[in-house]
Amino acid sequence: MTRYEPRYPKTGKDVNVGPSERLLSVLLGGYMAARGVRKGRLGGLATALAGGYLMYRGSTGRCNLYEKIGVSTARRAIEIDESVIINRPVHEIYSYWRNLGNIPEFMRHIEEVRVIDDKRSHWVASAPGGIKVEWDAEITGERENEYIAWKSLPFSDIESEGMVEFSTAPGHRGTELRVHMIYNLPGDGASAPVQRLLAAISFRQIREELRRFKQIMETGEVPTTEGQVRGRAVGE
Amino acid sequence: MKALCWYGKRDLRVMEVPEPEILGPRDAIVRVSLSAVCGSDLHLYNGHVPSMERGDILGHEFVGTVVDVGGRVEGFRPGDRVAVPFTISCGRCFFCERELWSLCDNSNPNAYAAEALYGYSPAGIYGYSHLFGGYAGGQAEYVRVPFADSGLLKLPESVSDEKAVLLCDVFPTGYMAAENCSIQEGDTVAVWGAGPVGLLAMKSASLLGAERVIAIDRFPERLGLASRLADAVALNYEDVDVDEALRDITGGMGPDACIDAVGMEAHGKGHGRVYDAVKNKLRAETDRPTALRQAILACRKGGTVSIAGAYAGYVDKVPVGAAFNKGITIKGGQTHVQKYMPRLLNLVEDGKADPSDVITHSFGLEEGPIAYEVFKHKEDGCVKVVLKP
Repeated sequence: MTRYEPRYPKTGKDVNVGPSERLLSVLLGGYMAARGVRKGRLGGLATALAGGYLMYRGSTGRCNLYEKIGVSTARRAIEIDESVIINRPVHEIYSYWRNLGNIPEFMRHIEEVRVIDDKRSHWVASAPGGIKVEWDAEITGERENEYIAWKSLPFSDIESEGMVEFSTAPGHRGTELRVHMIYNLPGDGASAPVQRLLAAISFRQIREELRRFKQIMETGEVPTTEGQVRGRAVGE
Repeated sequence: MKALCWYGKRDLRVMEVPEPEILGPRDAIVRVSLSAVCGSDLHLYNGHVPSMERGDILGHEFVGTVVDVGGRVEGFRPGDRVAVPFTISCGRCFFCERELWSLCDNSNPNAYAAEALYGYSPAGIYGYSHLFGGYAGGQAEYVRVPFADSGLLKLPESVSDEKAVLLCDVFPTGYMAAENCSIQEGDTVAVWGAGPVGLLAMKSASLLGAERVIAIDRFPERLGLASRLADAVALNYEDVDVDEALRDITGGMGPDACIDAVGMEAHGKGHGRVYDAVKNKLRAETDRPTALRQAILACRKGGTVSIAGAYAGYVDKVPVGAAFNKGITIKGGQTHVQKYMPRLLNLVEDGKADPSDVITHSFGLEEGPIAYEVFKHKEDGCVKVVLKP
């Protein structure tokens, strides 16, 4: 029997404590808990409980106090893992995607992908407010009709990596496509446009982007009602 | 152009709006020569279908003439006289390839909204809320038809607009409802609702080999029509206990198949009616499934319940225990119109069926708001209304 396991654990949305602080929290909590238990009595119990909470906070990465006051020391990362079945053969889907310049056709948050050479490309994403976030990316691995993996090059506005896998879907249903993408903040701080971009990317948006990709591959267009006529009362 | 627009619950207005334009390479623009009002339009009119917006153009049954086509339309050109199925289907996805046209993967631009309610999105439908794409409908002078090659049926000269307009929805819907009953020679089929779909389901059941058809309604004119057009045994549920009557007619066995051609706004009587009315008011239940409950309870062991009336959301107190323990098959769904249109057109052309005898009223498009009222209240023996732009 094959057991289903998500191949990429999704980043817990609720984690608001950074990794080094989590480690510190666990260590300090463990020390306090051990001391409190050894001391006994009421003061000792309070220390043990506080230590216990710190250990819990460190191990889950969740801090209630941080949440209340709206602080997060966790690195923001957006991790996306989505799949879609497209009723076309693998080689068609692969070659459309391998021409990275096609990506803005269906990924609306990507404004432009300029192919530099066989491996390298320049990406421009638009964040809300018309601000652009740019990076250079390099294809780090590929196998025809199987997968394409890419990663942003150092000194980019944003750290990004992605992989798209292609396989023949069972039951003559065309191609199963899986996309995995990560957007990380480079280093510690993040510029306002990068934060805005990350805030705007959602699972729903990525699902919609894959839906558009499927629509283009299956029907040759993205069906729309934008711009169609409708009744408007005078003055509306 | 003139168009009939939804402005709120029981508020329709005839508006002057711009003419539609080609938006995609597979679009066509059709000048409407006749449109019809469907029972499911009444669900919109009565405010039962979520996600309607002020100004939406109604109508999903219409015939007309192609006046313009996009660059990638192959099979149609200006001047072609056509009927338009209410389901908008791309013709290229998994579902379209299997003739499950109303389940098209690609034609609903608001698929995410439908997914939130249904898990997966069905096809887009003209003038049938934003859950089904928010497409402008055909109760207008002109309409935009996406995916024209898989969404138009060419009409021969010999078939009138009145006959053809019924091929867009109600005749295929009635026919699919009967086909879903897997009728064997000699079967008895009971049909709840003697409106246009119910009447055409009765006719289709006979065409498919049913020996006896039973019509259940509360309007004597409609029951009269059922007897006259489909040779049905008429049951008025306000006068008789339906369950008892069906048992009696079928020698205690129950009908082999039961068709619910009523859908979400069933009236019924007794406790169920009060229960649903209260839950509707509290918004704890979207639809009123009185007919569906009766159909499941009345159906014979191992029989089929076929749902042709539209349901939108959630219903309560559906007797699943009866369905399970009697081994009943339940089938339903929006009609896969493109699958049935050609063969039904043949029946009409050969004179083997004339669906237009359910049309009782005709209005001008500008009288649309009146037409809806007449249809809703079944005034003057109204069964089916058509609108002439």
